[in-house]
Amino acid sequence: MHAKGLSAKTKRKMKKLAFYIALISLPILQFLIFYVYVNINSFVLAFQEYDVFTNTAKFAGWNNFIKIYKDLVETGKFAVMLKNSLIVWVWTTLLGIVGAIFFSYYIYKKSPFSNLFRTILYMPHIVSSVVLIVMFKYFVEWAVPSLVETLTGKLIEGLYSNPDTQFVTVVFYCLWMGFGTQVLMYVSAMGGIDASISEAAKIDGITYLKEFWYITVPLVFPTLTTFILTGIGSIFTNQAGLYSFGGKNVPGSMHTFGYYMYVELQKNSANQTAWPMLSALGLLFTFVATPLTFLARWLLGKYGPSVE
Amino acid sequence: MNKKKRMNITEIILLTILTIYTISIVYLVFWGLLTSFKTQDDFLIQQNMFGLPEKWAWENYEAVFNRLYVQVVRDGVRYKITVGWQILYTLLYAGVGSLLAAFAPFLVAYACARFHFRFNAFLETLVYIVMIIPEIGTTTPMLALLYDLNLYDSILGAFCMKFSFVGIYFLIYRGILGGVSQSFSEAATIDGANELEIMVRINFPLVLNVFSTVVLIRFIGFWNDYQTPLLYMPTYPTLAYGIFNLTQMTTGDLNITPRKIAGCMILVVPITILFIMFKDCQHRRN
Repeated sequence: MHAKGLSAKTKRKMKKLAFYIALISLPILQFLIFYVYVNINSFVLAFQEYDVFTNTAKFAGWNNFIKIYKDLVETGKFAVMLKNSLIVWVWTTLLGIVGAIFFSYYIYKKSPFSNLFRTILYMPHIVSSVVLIVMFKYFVEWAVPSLVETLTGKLIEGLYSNPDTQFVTVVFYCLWMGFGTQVLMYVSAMGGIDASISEAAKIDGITYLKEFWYITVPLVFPTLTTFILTGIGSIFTNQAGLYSFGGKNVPGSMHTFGYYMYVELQKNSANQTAWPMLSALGLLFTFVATPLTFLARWLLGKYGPSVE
Repeated sequence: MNKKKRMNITEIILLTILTIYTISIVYLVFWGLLTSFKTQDDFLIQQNMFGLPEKWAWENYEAVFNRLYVQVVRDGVRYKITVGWQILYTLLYAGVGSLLAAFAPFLVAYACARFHFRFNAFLETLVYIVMIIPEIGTTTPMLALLYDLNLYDSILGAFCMKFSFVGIYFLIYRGILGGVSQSFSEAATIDGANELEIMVRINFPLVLNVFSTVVLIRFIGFWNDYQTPLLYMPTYPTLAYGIFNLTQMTTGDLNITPRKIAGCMILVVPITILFIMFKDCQHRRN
């Protein structure tokens, strides 16, 4: 009787285990192939070169990294991309966060029109980036010069076609449209703050700004940290919308790492000889971004505001 | 007694900036909509940049619908992929892709919440680690992998990429399912329901609202995404891919600003309607 009961229990457990395995096996298999294998292959590819004549790949040592040095560093392209990528990052991630957190606080406090603002800020999520960029591009290209001419009588070039204002225009666009995404995230995080904390502070006579600084920011700091940490990797991946602005024909002086990587891969999607160098470049960026991310995480944890 | 709260100076400054900001976004879309109905003559020659169209040029939309195509070469044969086909590919790519992208994290989160195996801890830690480590140079090896698996330039390849459980949605599902009482499931077990029935009939409806939100968010993302199809399935152009091609045109009768913007509107309108309908539906359900 006892043995029979135990056997039924084991049978039930086995059934549960079988169902558990059935649930997770496909997602795990996908993860192993499309994440683990891809990341390992990224490392392998970086140290290979492809022979078109024999149609085989062979070990290339540090050749791809030397090629990166010769093609990108020595020619000055790397410095330009680094400068541009950092400018985009500072404006969109760092300065964007400051503005977005203030806007979020305004919406969170249910100040006038906050619901309307919230709805409109969702717009960049729904509308494709290529659509917004195209409208923005034609607006600064045709409408702004026309407006300037009407107001001042001065003829100016389109802001995107003028080399002097081209990059500033792109950075402005990134900052302008980037706000929306961040604001929605922070508003959700602020919505999770216990209302009693804010009520208690109000009874103690806390001001609008002090509540923001001493209560709201520390309580949403984990969300802020996540955004900053994911933002570090974006130094190397952010295309700054350049592909939507100009396709493959964006001038070299405006390239960011993200744009360069995407365009090169797009151009060489059927040319396997170009893949190892691109893989090496990606690997290089990962090796810079990973310790930077962990360092930033440690710094934010140590010096960031405390909930206490 | 005046119950109205007086605004402080910080609020006034923020209100001003937010007002300017939101007006600028709405105005840009409105300007785009007006421009899409102008003729090239009205827009560029007459310099009617801000006014209403002199004549509402519906033919801009007609031209994009009837004459926009993406030329692709599949197995050595040239094809002209028209807007109709682009919409079909989009519905397939975004529709199935969003379901897969929402379903994979649900499956693993459900497994972790329903069953208490040691492997759960490993899976949960794995998700956190993968989310922290920046993924930068994986597009090249992904392309190589798709070639190796014979999945390059196929929608199936894109589906396989989307079926990933790692990410924020796993954590969201895990949080919700972790809070669901097991008593419903236990009662169903006593009534003779098997694990699949418990998952589909009892637990899935509890997360249906969140699931549908995730599907919508992913659907919007895939609907608007032109870079993934361009890179991984170039001969199956989606509508976003077609519109991107249109915006980069330098020749032909579609190469005029109002028509390019009209193309953009064709991409925007369906997704905006879907979003409004979904919000309305959710609002009614709540």
